[in-house]
Amino acid sequence: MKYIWEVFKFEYKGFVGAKSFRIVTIIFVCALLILTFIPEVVHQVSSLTSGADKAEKTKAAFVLGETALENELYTAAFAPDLLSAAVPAKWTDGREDGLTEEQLKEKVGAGDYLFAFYYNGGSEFKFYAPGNKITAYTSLAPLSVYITEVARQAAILELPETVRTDVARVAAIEAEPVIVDIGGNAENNFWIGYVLMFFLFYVIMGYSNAVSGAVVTEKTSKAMELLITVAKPVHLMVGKVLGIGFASLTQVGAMVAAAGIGIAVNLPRWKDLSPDLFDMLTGSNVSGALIGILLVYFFLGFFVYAFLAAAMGSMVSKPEEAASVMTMPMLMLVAGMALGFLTLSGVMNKTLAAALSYVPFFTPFCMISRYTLGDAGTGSIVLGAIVLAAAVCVVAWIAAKIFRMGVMLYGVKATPKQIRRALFG
Amino acid sequence: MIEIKGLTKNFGEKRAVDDLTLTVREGVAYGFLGRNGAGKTTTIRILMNVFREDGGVALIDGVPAYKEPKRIGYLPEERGMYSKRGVLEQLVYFGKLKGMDRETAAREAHAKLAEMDATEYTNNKLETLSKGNQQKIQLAAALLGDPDIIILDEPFSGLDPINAQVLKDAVRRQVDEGRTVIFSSHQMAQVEEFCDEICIIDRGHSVLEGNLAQIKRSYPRNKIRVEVEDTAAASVIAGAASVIAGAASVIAGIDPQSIVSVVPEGAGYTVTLDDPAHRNLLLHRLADAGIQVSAFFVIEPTLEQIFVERVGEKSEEKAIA
Repeated sequence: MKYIWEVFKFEYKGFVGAKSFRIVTIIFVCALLILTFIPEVVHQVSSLTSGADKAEKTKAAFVLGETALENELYTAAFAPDLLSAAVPAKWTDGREDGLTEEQLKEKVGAGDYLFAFYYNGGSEFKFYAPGNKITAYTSLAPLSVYITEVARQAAILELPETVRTDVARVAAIEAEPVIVDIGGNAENNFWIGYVLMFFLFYVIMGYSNAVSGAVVTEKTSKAMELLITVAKPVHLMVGKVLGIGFASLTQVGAMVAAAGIGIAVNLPRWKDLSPDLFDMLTGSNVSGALIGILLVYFFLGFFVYAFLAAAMGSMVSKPEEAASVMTMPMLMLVAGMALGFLTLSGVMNKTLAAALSYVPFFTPFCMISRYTLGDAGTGSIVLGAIVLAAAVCVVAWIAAKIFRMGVMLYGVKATPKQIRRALFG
Repeated sequence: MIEIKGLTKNFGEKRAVDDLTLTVREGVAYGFLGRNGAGKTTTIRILMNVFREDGGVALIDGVPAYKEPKRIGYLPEERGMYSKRGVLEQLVYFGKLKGMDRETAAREAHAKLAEMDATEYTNNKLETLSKGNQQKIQLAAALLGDPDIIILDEPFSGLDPINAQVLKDAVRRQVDEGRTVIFSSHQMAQVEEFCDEICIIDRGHSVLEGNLAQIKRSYPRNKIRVEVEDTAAASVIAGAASVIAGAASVIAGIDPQSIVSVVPEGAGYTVTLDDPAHRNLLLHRLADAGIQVSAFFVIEPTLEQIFVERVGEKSEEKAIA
């Protein structure tokens, strides 16, 4: 363990201390912070550029017709304060200025008001707004809802006393969902499943390639010949994979932290900019259990592919050859992600999805998909982790044998016969 | 003591080491010679547990060598350290892999850098150093922990004379301190300078092994260097063939026919006798003839000549076979 620890520290320090690592991490952290701060930036830029004009442009006005003015309900409901609560704007009652419908229209055209409406009872109202002022039309929907409600109340009041109460009661009926969370809310976790698939795929792919690249570089520099005389190959390989694994976690952790802080700080702004996204972020079931499962499966999945990458990297002598030997592991990784997506989308038969979630190279993807869909219980998760951990040990053993043979091959690729001999003596 | 008995290693159809047997006594500087591809590096890599042997054994004090890697300081032929890492950082790393704690490894690293006259590069990245200085760092890494046995595989190749001298001094100190130094090279002059004992290996097996001085003495001692101070005497006996022949005409007891050749070289002559026993007679007769002899000694074969003769013989035998 001592030697693994020493190799681990050296590799971790080398990876994290590399200029390219630091630059990439800083760029990604900055990019994520910028991305999550976009609503705040939009808000600030909007405030700066609009300023007083904006207040001026959100002025709105209304005029009630003769018939509407005779109805107390209408005169009471169309008061500027009440309207402001339903439709945010600085409302002006046209009656106070003695405006007619025609004058109201002219004032909107002159830019005195951003928009206005004329209402004379019933279900119809006239909405005045310049066609090029798109922001005015965002108020149309809430205004329609408000006028509909007022018109509905007025209509009920006109009904005979005997039926008015019944109609009011019927009109007030509204469906009220009672949500019972049984721990597998697919709607909430569906998007998380996709995010996790991509996350696992890119992280495992990126850092597995980093492992194979590091092994080839070590071979190219001939440092391996010196190392192998003072440490066991399996210690070198495990230390290297752990070092790069934790370095990757450091990088990913910095990015996730940046994104998390950015989202947390800007959550209210996200609500203003994109209510749907806000609901998705706040309503999703990102529990501690999910994060724990993700971490376990990320590490185990990473180790399966990283040990394989170390063995593959040891079999070639030039960095440009590393890509060719990494093709097979990468294809398996792509297959794993594709199967994960098929599971998430419901295309995959559930029995087949369950079976595939115990195939080690696919387990990280398929099991997380099943968990986010609510199809994998605690037993399945634990069993999947055990299968994956056992696979890590087997792959590490095979990789160590190949690594031991491969690292001392210079200028040639390992032949199938050599690999067979390395594995079976 | 290192004992290699019947060592064999194959790479596919090719036999790299073929029933090799040799013994390296404790505290000697041992030259391990051979042409490129003779099997030197493979033998060393078996000693270092980089490869496992297909047959035979390699022992250090009776224990299989693969169990004793930390007793050996190794400077591989293929120079290899981390080009983008700091000098001290990687020396400490290698020290810790050799079993030292951090403080000891750091102390050792500083000491070895000072010994190599490379203290100024302590915090440099390896890639910023010249090839010679990188070589010094590599040797410093090999000497970490003061190992009993030091194996140097082509240690001076590609070095300028000044850096070569620094490394030679460092190697000399190891030899003087009584460590066993195995010196693998095909640069004969350097091996001759350092080594007490040698083994010449060709096509994977030993063709000559033993004490270098004894090996040299085992060669015919019939080649004599004669230098004369008296230029007049030289002029009297002028002419290559007549130098000794002229003397011989006045030297009773030496048949001029026993002188195979006389070749003038610089201030003297190289005389080849058919019988080494005649050299004392030759000296006496020269003195009797009144020729002022300033130097008279047997010319021993150089290691290079021995090497060419032994390896050449084997090559010719193979060619004939």
